[in-house]
Formats: sequence, C-alpha cells, structure tokens
Amino acid sequence: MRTDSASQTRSAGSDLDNDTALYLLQRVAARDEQAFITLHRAMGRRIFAYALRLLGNHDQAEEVVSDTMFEVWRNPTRFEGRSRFSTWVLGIARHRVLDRLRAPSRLLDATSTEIDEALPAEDVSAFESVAAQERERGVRNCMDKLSDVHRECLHLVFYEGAPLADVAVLQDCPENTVKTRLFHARRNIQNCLRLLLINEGRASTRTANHA
Amino acid sequence: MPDLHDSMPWYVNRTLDGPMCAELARRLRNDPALRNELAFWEQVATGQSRLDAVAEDIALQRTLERIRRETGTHVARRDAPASRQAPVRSLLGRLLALPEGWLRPALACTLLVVVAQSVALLVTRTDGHNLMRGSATHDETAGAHIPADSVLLRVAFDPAVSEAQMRLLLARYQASIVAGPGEGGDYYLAVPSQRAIAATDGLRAAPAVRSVVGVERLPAPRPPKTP
Repeated sequence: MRTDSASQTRSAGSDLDNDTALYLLQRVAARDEQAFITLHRAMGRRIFAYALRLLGNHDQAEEVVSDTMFEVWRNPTRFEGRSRFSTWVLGIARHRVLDRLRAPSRLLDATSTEIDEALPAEDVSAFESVAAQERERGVRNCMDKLSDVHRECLHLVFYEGAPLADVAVLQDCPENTVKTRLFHARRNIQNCLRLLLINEGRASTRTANHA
Repeated sequence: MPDLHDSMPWYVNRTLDGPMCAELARRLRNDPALRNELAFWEQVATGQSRLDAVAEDIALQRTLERIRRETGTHVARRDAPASRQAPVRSLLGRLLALPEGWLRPALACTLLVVVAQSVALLVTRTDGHNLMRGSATHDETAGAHIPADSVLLRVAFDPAVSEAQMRLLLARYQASIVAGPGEGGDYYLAVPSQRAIAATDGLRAAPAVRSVVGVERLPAPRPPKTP
C-alpha cells in the first residue's frame, strides 16, 4: 500500500550507523580531516534542509551547517551512541536555528493562528475536494503557512524519516505532544486548502459574471 | 481507534512496526476514509521531500576555513598525522642545533650512516614468509605495511562506487587498503582479526562490493617492464 513517495522520504533520512559514526568521531578527535569531511558530507545536506525549512534563507541555512559541524569538530566525544548520530547532530543544528530565530518562543508556539481562526475545523474533506493536480501545489503552499514547530515536525517525520521517539527527543517534548502537533498540522493544512477552494470559487464566479 | 490515526505518519515514513503496522495495513484494505488519510500524508511526504538539489559539500570549505581560523588547528591528513611528525622534526632540529663548530658536521655524518644502515637492512632482508599474525609486519612481497593482528581480504568493488562510499565501508570495518587496485581492479584490505568475520559478511552483503576473498598474502609485485 505504501507508495514510492513514502520510500523516497525514507531514503532522504538514510543514516550513518552509530558504529561508523563513533569510529569517525574518534578520528576527528585525533584531528583527522578525512574523517571530518566524511561526516560533513553525510550530514551537511540534511542540516541544510532542516535549517532552510525553518529559516527560509539559504545563507543562514549554510551558516547553520557550518556552525553545527564546527561544534562536531570541537566536541566529537560528546556523542556516546545513545541516540542515532543524525539525531545528535540535528539537535545541535536545532539550537543554532533557534539562535537565529532570535525569538525562541516562536518555535514553542504550536499553533498557526491565522489559519486556525479563519475557519472552524469541522470540514476535513477539503483535501479530497481539490483536484488531484492541484493538491500537490496546494499542500505545499499550505505547509509553508504552518507554524515553525509544525513545519519542523513534518520535516523530521517525512524528510528525515525519523521515528516518533526521535522526533520527541529533537523537539524536546513528550511523544503524545508530537502526535498532537501532527494532528493540528493536518487540520490546519485542511483548513488552508478549504480557504484556497473558497478563494478559487470566488475568482471563478467573478470571471463568469464578467463574461 | 484514535491511535491508528495518530500512527499514520510513521506508517508512511516506514518506521512503524509491530502489531500497529499490521493492524493499520489490514484496516486500510477495507476503510476508504483511512485510505484518504493515507493519501493526504503521502502528499505531505512528497511535498517535504522536494527540496532543491543541494551540493554534497555544502558549507564544507567554510567550515574547514573556520576551523583553521578559530582554533588555530591545522587539520591533519590521516596518512601523515602532524602529531606524529612534529616531535620527530623538532627533535632532529634540536639535535642539529645543539653542537657547536666541528661537532655539527660530525653529528650529521653519524646520522647519515645510521639512516643508510637502516635502509640497507630493510633492502637485504629476504626471509620469504607467510603473513605474521599478532605483530606488525612488513610484507616484502608487495612492499606494503600490514597492521598488527590483522587478516587480508581481496575485495572487488563495483566500478560505479564512489570514493566516499568506499571510505565509509572501510571505516565501518576498520579496514585499510594495503595494496591495489590490481589489474582486475581488486584491492587488498587489512582488517583487524577480531572483526574479520563481520567484515567479510558485511562487505559481501554491501551492494558496492562484487566479491570478497580471504587471502594469505599480498600478490608478488609485477616485474618492471623491459624495453
């Protein structure tokens, strides 16, 4: 039942196994450039994607990559293999993203207020009502309008392919909160799609009247 | 069953397993509403995975420059660790700087004699032997250094494999290249003996590897071509 898109999502999160990461980090502790470059290549794009999703700025996202990997270079022995290597690195990246947002409370705000208040949540059929070819564009537009914490949650689940427990660790919250965040994210995307449908309906009505 | 709905995103990203995954798969066959929900999350997953192509080396140069600038560390190459070379250089420097007058050329000559004798010893050793286990050894057959307590594997990598993939595989099994590539593209790897079985099995299972064979020693060096 699972489609190609799902497997693509999973492959985006393919991981260095912890044994390899620990070995390379030992080499980094001995100031081995090649080991560091291997780790940088394994994680650079993923850190960039994560930072870009939240900051929306290429230059700042590159800075986050550099800041994060510089921290790995300075403290390679801090990773003890208790979590996945990528979870540890993305945890460092998250702090650097928060620094740049300059308002940490922004990431703690779990609601997309403007969409929440625009419509009641009883209609969850908007996704099915949008023509298939419009869905992709609509869903992507609506994801961009979500709050930071909801976008972060979707990124970790679907781009990183992270299990529930890892998302909870990275977002520093209980697993049930992660589930609640995804529930709200889905509802907000549905509401946003419904707004798009209404606006498109108005536009087509105006066009028909002018004709 | 609200948990079933809550678990759908992890069904889509393929990290859900156990009874919940089986139950969800079963219910999806009979429940159109659940299938719509699945379609929604798959659309979200597709949207998330679409980021513009990003270079593998993104920000790498910036990070390396920053390391050099802010820590004053000159990052070392694996094959020539600065930490090992620096003390040797400084010791030689101090030895040559200490004596005054006629003592300096005398000391330099003595050092030259010691080096020449060491080279002569290495060149004239002719004990043909199998690979020594349990101590560092020098395989005269191919002139390669075999790390202590290691076994040799002859490995043929897929021609399409990247250097980074090879490096990752080597790192995973603590293997090092001691010879190759040969005419057939084979490499000879030294692997710590306690990891030999895991390395052999792991390399054989790796898509980037075509074949893995345990060998006793390195191949004899090819004779130089005569005109």
